[in-house]
Amino acid sequence: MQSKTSCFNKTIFRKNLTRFWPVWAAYFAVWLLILPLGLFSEREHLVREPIYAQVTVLNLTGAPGAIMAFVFAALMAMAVWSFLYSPRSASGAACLPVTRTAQFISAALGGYLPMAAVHVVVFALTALAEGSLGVLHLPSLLTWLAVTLLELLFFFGFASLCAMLTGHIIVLPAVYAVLNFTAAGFVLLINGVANWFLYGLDEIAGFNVLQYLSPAIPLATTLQARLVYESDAVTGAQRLVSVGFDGWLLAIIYGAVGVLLLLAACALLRRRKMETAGDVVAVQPLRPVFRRCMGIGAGLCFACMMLYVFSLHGFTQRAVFASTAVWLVIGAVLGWLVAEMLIRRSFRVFRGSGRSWIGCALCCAVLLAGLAATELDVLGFERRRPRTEDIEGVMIIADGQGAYLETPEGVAAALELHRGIIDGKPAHDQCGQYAYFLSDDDAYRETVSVSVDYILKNGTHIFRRYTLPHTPGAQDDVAAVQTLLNCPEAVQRRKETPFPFTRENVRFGTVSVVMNAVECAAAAGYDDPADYVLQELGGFTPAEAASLQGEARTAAARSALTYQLAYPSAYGFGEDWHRQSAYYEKYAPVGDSLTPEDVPETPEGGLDWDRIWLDYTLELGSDEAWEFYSECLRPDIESGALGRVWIILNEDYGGAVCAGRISVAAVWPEGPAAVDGVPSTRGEYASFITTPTVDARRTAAWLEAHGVHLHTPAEIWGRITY
Amino acid sequence: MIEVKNVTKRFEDVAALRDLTMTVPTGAVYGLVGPNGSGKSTILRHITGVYRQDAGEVLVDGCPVYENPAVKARIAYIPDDVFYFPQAGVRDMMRYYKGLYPRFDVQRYEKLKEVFQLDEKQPIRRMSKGMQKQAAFWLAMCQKADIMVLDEPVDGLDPVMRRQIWGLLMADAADRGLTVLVSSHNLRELEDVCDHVGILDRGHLLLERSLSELQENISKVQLALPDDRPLPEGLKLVHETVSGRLRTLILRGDPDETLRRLQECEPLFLDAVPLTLEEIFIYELGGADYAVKDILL
Repeated sequence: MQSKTSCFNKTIFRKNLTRFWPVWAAYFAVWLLILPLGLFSEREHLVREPIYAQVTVLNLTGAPGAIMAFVFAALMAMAVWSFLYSPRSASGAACLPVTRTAQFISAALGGYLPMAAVHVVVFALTALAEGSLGVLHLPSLLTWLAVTLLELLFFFGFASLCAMLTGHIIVLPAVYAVLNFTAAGFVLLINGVANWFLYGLDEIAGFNVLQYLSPAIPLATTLQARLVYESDAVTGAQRLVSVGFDGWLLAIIYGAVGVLLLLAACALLRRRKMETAGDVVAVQPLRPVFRRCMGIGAGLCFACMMLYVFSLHGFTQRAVFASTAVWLVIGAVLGWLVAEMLIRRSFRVFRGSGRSWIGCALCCAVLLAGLAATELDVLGFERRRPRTEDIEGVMIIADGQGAYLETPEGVAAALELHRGIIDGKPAHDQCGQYAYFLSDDDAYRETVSVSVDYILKNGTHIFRRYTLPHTPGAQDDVAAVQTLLNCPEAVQRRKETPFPFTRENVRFGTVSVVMNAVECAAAAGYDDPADYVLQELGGFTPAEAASLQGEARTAAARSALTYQLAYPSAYGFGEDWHRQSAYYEKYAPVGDSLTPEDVPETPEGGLDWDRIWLDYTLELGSDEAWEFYSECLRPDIESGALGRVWIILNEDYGGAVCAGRISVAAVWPEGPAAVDGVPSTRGEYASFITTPTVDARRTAAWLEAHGVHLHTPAEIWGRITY
Repeated sequence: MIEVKNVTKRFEDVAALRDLTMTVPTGAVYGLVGPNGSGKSTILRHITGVYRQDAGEVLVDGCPVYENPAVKARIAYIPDDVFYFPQAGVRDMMRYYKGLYPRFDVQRYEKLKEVFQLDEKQPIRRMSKGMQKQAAFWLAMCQKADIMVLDEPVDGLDPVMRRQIWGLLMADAADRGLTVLVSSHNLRELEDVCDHVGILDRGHLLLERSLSELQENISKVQLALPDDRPLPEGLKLVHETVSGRLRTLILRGDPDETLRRLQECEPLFLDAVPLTLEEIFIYELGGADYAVKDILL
């Protein structure tokens, strides 16, 4: 009797279609809300700017599409493979006159195709919606259709494979979720532990590659519309001119992987032992793997959790090592026991073969060996610095201030700085990622986060991150970092513009500084600061301002000032605002909000105009801006007076910078937006921004000549009373 | 013909079937009996292609069953615990099986409606256990299978329905040469319908004979001997109970030869009593350490 081979059974297919309609109906309802109805809700905006319809549609391939596919593929897999999870249904299916291959294909198609049909219907409805709004763009819609179908294929394949690995319907979504994030999770856990032992470690190498093994993450974060903006030549305002999509390769790769996963799932179903219905792990050879992964994963997880809960900053490295070792072992044993309970479906796991306990001991040994190898730095991670000849450039970033160095001198200086930091490990060892209290004297110490990123000639990076302690006044590595950040190469490079600024392309400039009310009034052409405050800040007409006298005038000015006082902790001063804010927080903390009562007064009850600090803005036309840039700013940069940065917020800092910000804007008509070399009103827009300093004499003199007085934070801090 | 050859099956550390060999002739009504956990359901699941054996072969007319749709299409299976889709009624399942079993007979389904007076639209899972069994028989009998595999089939059925169903099965066996393989603990019932019996113990087939052969190989004798005279030498005594001078003996071997030997002892009283299948089961298994134990509580 020759068996007739068929790879498809329409009865099973049809049964799956009709039985599990609630899943695809819910899927349809959600997509209906997201896409055609979602577009309709934005119709006014889309009719005004039709290009945003493309953006909306393409962006739905990313997080929304990935999350929808992730969730509903799992639900559908739970539905179509549910027959594997009870001995009754498994027997009922296995005795049917259908090969397992045909059963798999029929059930898989019965699960996937109705959901795919949902995409096609949503595509058609969206096309109708876009058409009715006059914003129809078929290429973007077709891209959405194809990419989301590929995402769905991948996640359905993934969920189907998970379905074959287990024999319990509740375990299926758990396995699916865990496996989806295992790679990223393991990297995080290993990182979480290794960070305590490897000096300079930011994250273990290869995370970017490993994240592709946690597919929900790259699909949700990478797939989106690529927006191309152009700047207006006059105003600099940016405008969206075209929309692209770069996610095809990723979607196709994952779609292909989805097919492979389905094939693997089919192979597992063909070999599946139906008696495993109800088992947590249905594939016998995977049971030891499950135990070991649970042991190692739980060990790392428990150690990470304990290191987080019992923050061990300030303890000796030996104590941290011993504690971590204990936590790793406890976690591994717990994980092993849980795995054993799940496999045996019993709490009685202490009786049994000693072989199982040997496996548990091996898990613990692997974790301890890994910990020891990390602590001893057997791979030489901590002392590794690239050779000078291999380095293309070095990016040093400290507290958000960066310097890119590529000259031989700059690279040598960066290597020397790095060597100093490495040599300083014993002193820095107790310094964690955050400011901390020393265990010996409970003295609060500031820390600075410094990263060193070597860009090598072969295109790879060596990246290290350190948290360096800084004791005010002491010579330390932080001071060395600041010195390097302000070396001539770093200063020159930091203030480079993306294209040369010329008289022709500089459009305007803005100088925002903090001055007292008297200075602001003089700069704006008022004799009386009260008139300046009432007219410029309070919105009074000259006649109204003049009509106010005595206490009424003071009250009106006080009211106008309430929300206008320079408030360093909230707004800071210009580009350097967060450091200046930090400086003020440190030396002159003020309250959370200002009220009319906070406005400084003289002993006589009038307003103290000299102590009322206001933000003042001077706007420059193109000629003035060019003159200021070319004759003051650039020479001051070249002399090293402008363009320096500070990471040490001490009194020197407070007396060196000025509270304010200078920006000069230019447009490059021949920029990327030019068509065939013909300048257009579109072009690349760029701003030169800097914080004025006391040393920048040309700049200060030019500003003085234009009525603008510069003040240092230390000067203002000494005079602020509110 | 169903042939099970040296089949072994382990569930992790437990050996469910151990080198099991059995043969069910075509057209036979084969009763599979054995104590709980002896492997009856397990071997039935192998014969229906649900389980794959670790070793050995399971053949139907010389073809393996596992992953062989052509063979499976000839087998109707009613497990102990019947499965149907949660919301499905009998008619829904009929449509489903009609698509799967090429010989499914819709006309027979309609005819059998008179026998199984069930609401076709009522979800089967909401029916009583006996009604679910009726539904299972209704659908299985429409498959026009060559082999009917039944695991505790009449469990939950009322006596009238039992007789009705057995009548239908016997008619099919007579008309179409249907082979019936049935596992049951109801030996009284099997005795009425089976022509072959296999006794399974701890995953191994203890014996397999036609019912007549089985009955011809063991006999139950009541006798009273004068003076405490001993039994003749060479008799294969399986079990003995004594009540005064009356002895009840279960003896293996040809019943006629056994009686002739006992006559030689000039008994005061001698009578051959027919053995029920249940007694055969108990005494055969008694030899395999599965006797009824007298326990003093």
